[in-house]
Amino acid sequence: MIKIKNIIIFVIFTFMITNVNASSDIKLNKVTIDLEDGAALKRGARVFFDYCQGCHSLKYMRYNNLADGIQLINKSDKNNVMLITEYFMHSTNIINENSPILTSLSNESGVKWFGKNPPDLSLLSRYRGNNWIYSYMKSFYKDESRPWGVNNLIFPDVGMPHILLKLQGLQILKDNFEKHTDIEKMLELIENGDISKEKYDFLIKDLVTFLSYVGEPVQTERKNLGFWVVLYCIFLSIILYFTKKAFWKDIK
Amino acid sequence: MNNLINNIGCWINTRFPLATLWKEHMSEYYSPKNFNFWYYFGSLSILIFGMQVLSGIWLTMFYNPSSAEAFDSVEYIMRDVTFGWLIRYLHSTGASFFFLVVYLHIFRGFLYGSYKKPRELLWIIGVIIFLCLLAECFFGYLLPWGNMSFWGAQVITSLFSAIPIIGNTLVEWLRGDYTVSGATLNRFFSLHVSAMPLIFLILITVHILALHEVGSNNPDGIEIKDNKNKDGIPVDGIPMHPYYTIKDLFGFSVFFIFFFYIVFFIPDFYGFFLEAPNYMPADKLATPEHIAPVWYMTPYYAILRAVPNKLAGVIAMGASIAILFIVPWLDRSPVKSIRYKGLLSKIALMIFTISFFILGYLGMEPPSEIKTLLAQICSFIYFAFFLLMPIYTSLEKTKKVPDRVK
Repeated sequence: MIKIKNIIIFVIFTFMITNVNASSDIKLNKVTIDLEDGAALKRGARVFFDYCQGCHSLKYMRYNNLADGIQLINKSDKNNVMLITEYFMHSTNIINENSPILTSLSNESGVKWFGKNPPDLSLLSRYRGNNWIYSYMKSFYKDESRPWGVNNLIFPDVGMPHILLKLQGLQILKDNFEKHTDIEKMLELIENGDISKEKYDFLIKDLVTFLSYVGEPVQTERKNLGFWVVLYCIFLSIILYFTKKAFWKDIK
Repeated sequence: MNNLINNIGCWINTRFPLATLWKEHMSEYYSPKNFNFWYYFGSLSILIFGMQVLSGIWLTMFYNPSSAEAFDSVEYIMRDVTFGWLIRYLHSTGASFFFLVVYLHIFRGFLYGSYKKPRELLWIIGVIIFLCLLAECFFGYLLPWGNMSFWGAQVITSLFSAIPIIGNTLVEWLRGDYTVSGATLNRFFSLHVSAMPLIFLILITVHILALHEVGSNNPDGIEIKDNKNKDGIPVDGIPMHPYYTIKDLFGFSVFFIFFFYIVFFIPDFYGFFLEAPNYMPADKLATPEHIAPVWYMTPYYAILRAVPNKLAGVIAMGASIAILFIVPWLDRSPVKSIRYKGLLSKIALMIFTISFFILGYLGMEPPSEIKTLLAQICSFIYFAFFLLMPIYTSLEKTKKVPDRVK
């Protein structure tokens, strides 16, 4: 028993070490997202719940907050729980709308299947950045030496299988490529997926929009409020400038 | 109504010197009339101190200082507490702005010789406040319990192990454990929210009392108290209230434009105020790729790393701040202000400032051979600025200081 525990610890430890050196010199693809695009957020949420939530949780996000944030809930709509269940859950079980978004994958299975428990993705966009997530989802390539048959350019020896393989198709690493180069120049699609490259990029962009929202749900509200606060301070400064002048008029 | 207020005022003043204090420190405290841009930063640091205390009190209501809960409770503040995100961003942005404002305040001291006689003690108290600010921010930085918090505290506390004989025991005593752990988090929390703010409050009061005893310096470096009218009021002085209170209010509002712009639009300030690795919970098995302190500590960190020997490096880092204490006696110039000092002083201050910025940049970067060399050159300049000060300030020809301020 102790032996097994030691092996698990060893495996976790080696994964930690590889994770640390995960990033390399490869140039990340840039992605521009619009957090006010409710449709993109909804599509991104759909991708997450269809493909990611099987293994990854969003433990800092609650179902009802999410439903609110991606404008799923119409304020007049009374039946939030039904709506949330219908949209996010594949089972027919009614969920508690206030509970955080967890995964059904247990810790034990996670370690057993992937060597390490798949991380929570609530803060991924803040930890890695949007460009990283976008590039990461595009840089899986065929590598028979890995347990899942794929490897990743910007996260070498990643424990995760290419979950969107069916959509994107299979890429291989080109033999000769320059260092510090673009992901797209290093990889080549050898088997077409269910959707075209453009559609795949679009889908990933929606996912990034969604994860960026989850990373800091208040972003849009923050900027909208900030506009008025800064405007107020500018007006206040103008008024105080003239007040100061009036007070100081006889100082020479 | 007026009568009632007067009566209450009278009642208080026979029991507490409220009116006298107000007169001494506000309405009849005379400041030079020629304060410029650089004189906003003293009052601004008090403003930020107040904001940090208030936002800190509200954060403490929701924050949980245990190694198991700290990280989650910060996310709880960011997501579930009403306007918790705003309170937290005010506090995190406030920390960086505190340093920005204090650095400009100190630079003003260098520009106009505010440390020179009779303001030596005022300067020394200021340096102690600066040391406390460094400590306060170091303690506070551990509290989010992110991975950079953890490793930052790990690296900085381990510096004490360079001290011969007692080093390792001292580190253990500081951390309360063999590594940075929940025990360390608890004591840092205690120091951050109770001990340090108390010390701050006392030191700031002492700093202001000392200032009001000797009177403010000014961009011309002229003692306005040397030139009084027959009522004993400095002819170049104006009462603090209402002239400088209204001027500082204007300063506050302009400051708030910049401050709130960052709070609401770029609260992480491109990773300078809030670092990406800190969005991963503390993990003693996963070292961040590159450990660097927050921007305001990087110049000293660069000096530390520039010295090849660990103990010597720690001493150099300590000396880089300790040397500020003796500045009043290093400056041998007969004049205070840079306006009347010679070319050598101007060049020295300029090169010093540039090398301080370069050190700040180098402290954030992973070391390389060329960068270490550059850090060594800049550290040399940093110390040369102070150690050569007695020479270049006494050698150079100074301009004649006028009797009255401009």
